[in-house]
Amino acid sequence: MMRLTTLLATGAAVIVITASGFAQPAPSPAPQRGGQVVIGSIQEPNVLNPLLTNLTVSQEAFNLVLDALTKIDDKGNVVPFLARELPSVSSDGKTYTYRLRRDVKWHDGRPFTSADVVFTHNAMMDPRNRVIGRPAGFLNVASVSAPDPYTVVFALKEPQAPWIYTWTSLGILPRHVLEGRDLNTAAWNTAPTVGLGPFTFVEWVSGSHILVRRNSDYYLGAPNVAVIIYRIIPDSNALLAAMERGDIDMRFAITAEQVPIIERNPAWKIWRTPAYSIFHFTINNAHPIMSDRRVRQALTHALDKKGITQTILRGLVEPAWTPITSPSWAHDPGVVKYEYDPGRARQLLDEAGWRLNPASGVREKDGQRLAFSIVSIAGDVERQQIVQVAQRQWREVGTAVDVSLVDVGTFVTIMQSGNFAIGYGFWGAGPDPDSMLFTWWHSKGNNWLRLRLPQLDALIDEARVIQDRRRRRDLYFRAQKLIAQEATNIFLYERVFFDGTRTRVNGFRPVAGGGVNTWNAAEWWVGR
Amino acid sequence: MRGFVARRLLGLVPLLFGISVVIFALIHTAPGGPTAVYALGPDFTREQQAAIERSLGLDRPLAVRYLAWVGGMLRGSWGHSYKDGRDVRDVVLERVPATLTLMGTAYAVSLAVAIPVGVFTATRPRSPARYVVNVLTLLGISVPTFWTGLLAIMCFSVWLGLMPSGGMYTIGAPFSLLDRLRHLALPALVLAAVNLAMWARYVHSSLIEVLQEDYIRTARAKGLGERVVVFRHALRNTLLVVVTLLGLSLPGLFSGALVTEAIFSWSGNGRLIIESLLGRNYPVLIADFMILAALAVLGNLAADIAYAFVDPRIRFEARG
Repeated sequence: MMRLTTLLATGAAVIVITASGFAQPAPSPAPQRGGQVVIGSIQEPNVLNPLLTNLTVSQEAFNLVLDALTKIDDKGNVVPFLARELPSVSSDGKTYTYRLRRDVKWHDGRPFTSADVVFTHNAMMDPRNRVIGRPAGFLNVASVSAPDPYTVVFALKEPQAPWIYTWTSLGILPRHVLEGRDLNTAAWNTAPTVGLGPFTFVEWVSGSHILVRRNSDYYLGAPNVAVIIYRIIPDSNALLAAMERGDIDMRFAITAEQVPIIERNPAWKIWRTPAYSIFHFTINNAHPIMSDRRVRQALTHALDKKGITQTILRGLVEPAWTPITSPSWAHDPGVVKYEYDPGRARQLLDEAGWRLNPASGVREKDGQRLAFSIVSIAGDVERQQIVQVAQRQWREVGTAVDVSLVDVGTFVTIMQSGNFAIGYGFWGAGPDPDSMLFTWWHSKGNNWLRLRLPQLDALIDEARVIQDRRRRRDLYFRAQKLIAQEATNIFLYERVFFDGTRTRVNGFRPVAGGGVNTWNAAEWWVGR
Repeated sequence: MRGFVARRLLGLVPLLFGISVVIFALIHTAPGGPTAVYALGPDFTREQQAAIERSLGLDRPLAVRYLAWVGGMLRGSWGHSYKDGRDVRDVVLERVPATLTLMGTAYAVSLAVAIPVGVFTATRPRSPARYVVNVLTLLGISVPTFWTGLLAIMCFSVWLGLMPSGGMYTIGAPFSLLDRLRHLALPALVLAAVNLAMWARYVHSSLIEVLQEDYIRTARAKGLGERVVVFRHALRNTLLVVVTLLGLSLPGLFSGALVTEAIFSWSGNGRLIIESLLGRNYPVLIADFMILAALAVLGNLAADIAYAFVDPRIRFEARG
């Protein structure tokens, strides 16, 4: 759901898409013009204003009608769009200068200038606006200025290597439409008729679809496809039927359960994109039972990751041992692994003073039972099955585990309140490792882990301000080793996105790490 | 009669106030808030979240928020949706045509079939066809719509290719009545099957009861044909049941059908309600629930009034 901010994080990444046996872009014939592409989505965007959302579905839709200074491409590189080239960075790493294209016009014909970028920045920082989609880099800006209509200069408070990701895939707002309006309730949010993107907004029928039409004046040349329809099909089985029937041409983030079904259909092609996000058990490290590292390590030993990924997840994903996933340049394959070993788990629990009560089969210490619950989000069969397997395997080593499935809102509230032992879900992150580590492990981040590891904070802080990739990697390796050693979480598997396109659609290039797959919609074309 | 209606309508006001207090308190006591869903992504900080909740007034005590809402409603302002900042009135009312079309068609089909089926089974108690109908109606009641709906899509849309797999019309195409009907057919029939089965059984049992009344025996003794007895004399009284059912169904016309709407990607009110519930979109929820509560009360009232027309024995007279 939240591949979003995924993009807006850190470091110029060299990412390898392992297309293991899946589709490879074949050398294609000359693009044909015309036709329409229907994207099927379970979830509906909330708004098409990039400031007021961080939902991936919203980003997929607004990237059709809005445009960004830079975007992340299918290789994980930052590439210029509204910017003429990548920003120039001062030698101290504190000044980023964007030079803008001069040939760009808003959909109403007005010229696009640096004033629009400054307006977008200011709107993002305006406390009156209910801003949700703010990349972390905004907080580090000391000042922004527009010395001329085609130059924008950001002066940072301190150097920040991942700052380059701040303006990727972030749609620019039209100053001349939104200035002086209440941004929270502006009609533009759900009807962005004035944008800069390759397509122009036609209609959004709530609960049904968003329809956009080719912008013939697009500065990179008119898109091939005449019409794109972003269609909402809220039931995953109905969505599958629509794919089988050819009612839709694209679908992003297909569940593991449906991948084998779609693979059997010759009219569809599946794209496999390893992501930067990770599925894991969030441990409350301040919880009376979980604050003992040996308990956390024991629970990791007691969980059969390989078994879960091979059965429930159909062998489509790999077990994970560290938060920085394998597509990243900072992924450390050498962290300590607590392999599946229930015997070792029992031994660790014994050492931690949790003695088995043979009568109940549950361990006890000082009269307290080794009892806790796993919280997860209801409605997703995959998660439900995984949580149940974990419950069973942890019971086998003498714990009393129950499961509580709640809706998303309740889940987040529980995680934030710290009133839990273990949660299960995934954490999203951007291409730069700083995004994952600062957001979820730094004591100043969201800190659902309730962690106080000054040593870890220091490593993350240090790696953030250095530009040198090799030195950063060393620091991130140390951070990952520390995380693994402390068993702050129980990692389960690296998220992989499975995106489907009908074979008649060409030019689709899923963004590296999974994200806003509409980034190059102007290049798509439909064969006949 | 007029006095009766006026009294009932007047009684509606305190009733709705009471309902609004209960609904308001209930939806706000559920854990989570409207911004929780965004907190699964990186970069969205607790400070941002707190600021948004302050800006939405969610940090104020519940009573203050309730009074603010009542004040807004009295001034004709329904508030703004937390999801997209749009006017709640637009958000709710734009779903009405689609919901009414689907539910209205489903109800009409159910009714048109349920009455003859009910009559058929009640007047032929020993016919083997009756058992077939009984089994079918029982199936209609017992089988969930998410199953029949998907089955219908698989059959008519994927395998036979006769029907679209969902949606309300062909997106991007000019208006066509035929196209609309094609999209309406499957969801309406799936929904109709449920009500049909239920209503047919109501008509059936009610008619059997009526057929044992003295006046039916009298009618038969007079030498009237069975057809006249059933349709002129008995059926009219069983319609009381139908009227009650229709009255109780009034809120359903507005609330839509969550599961069927989701399966057929029909953008009706049922989906709006569940999405608002999951997203803790309080202003939309309370507006929707209040309209539903009002319709439930009005539906009962309408049924009461309709009784007077259908059944000459019922009169509303001011007492005392």
